[in-house]
Amino acid sequence: MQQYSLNFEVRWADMDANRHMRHSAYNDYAAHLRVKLLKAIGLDLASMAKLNFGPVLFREEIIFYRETGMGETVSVDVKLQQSRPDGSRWTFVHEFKKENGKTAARLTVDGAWMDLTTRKLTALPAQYQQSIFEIPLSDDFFLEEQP
Amino acid sequence: MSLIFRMFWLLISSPFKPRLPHVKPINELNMIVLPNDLDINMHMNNGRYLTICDLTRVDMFIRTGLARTMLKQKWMPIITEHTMIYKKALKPLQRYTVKMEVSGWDDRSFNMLHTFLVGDRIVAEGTSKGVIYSKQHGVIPPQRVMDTVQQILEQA
Repeated sequence: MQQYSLNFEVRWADMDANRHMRHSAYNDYAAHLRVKLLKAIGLDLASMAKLNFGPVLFREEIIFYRETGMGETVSVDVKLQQSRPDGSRWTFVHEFKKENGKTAARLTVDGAWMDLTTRKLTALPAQYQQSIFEIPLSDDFFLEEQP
Repeated sequence: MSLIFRMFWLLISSPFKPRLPHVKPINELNMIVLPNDLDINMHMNNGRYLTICDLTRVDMFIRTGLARTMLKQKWMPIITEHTMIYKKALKPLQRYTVKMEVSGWDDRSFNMLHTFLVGDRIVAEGTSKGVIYSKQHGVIPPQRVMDTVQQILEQA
């Protein structure tokens, strides 16, 4: 997969009192994109529910460069910036671009997988460990050592 | 703002809470995890933490006098960076406290600290940067913002 991105039209519900897209909506769009991406590599919500695990975030960092207004279309992409060889820990980076191609924001998220019964971190099931590397890699992609 | 009822409650209740200093204020809100805060992992959705931080900002704006100043001056607050670190999940109907502190500023931005606590235990913490912006004058330096709040409070 060379690139994975989605276009979102900024909705009324995404606006705040400053008449631009509220900052937490950027995180919501990115979460939606990640769920679509996981589905695209075969890791859909039904499979996760069957195996009783799900993604969990440790850290999110977002930097805003330009505001986005109502009705604008914003393009969001996702790249894998860091991962363990078994895909058990990962970092995704998202870039939000305005219609004119300028960057509106950049979001970085660190996460892992959680067993929904024990509520503890768990490994990615073996059948998906290679799938995660189908995700587009960032230019500065870093493969962590497996502990 | 997606938490319309909680926001509405703050707009009604915050003006009656004790005033906060307009320099380096600290506030706390006691909250509960509601069903519409949950995601499919049955814990509070990560995006919700950021929205809850917005509520603490609104409470602080009202109680420091910054909200009134911004209305008078036609200024608006803008978040330019936000980082959250999640340590423990918040479960359905769990009570928690969210604390916000303006920890400092430079010639452009205010720096804020956000801490989510269950009892004494930190479950999430983060930092954010925000600016006060005027359509006429651009970014207002924090020192000028604080001086203006002081003037408006003295006039009241």
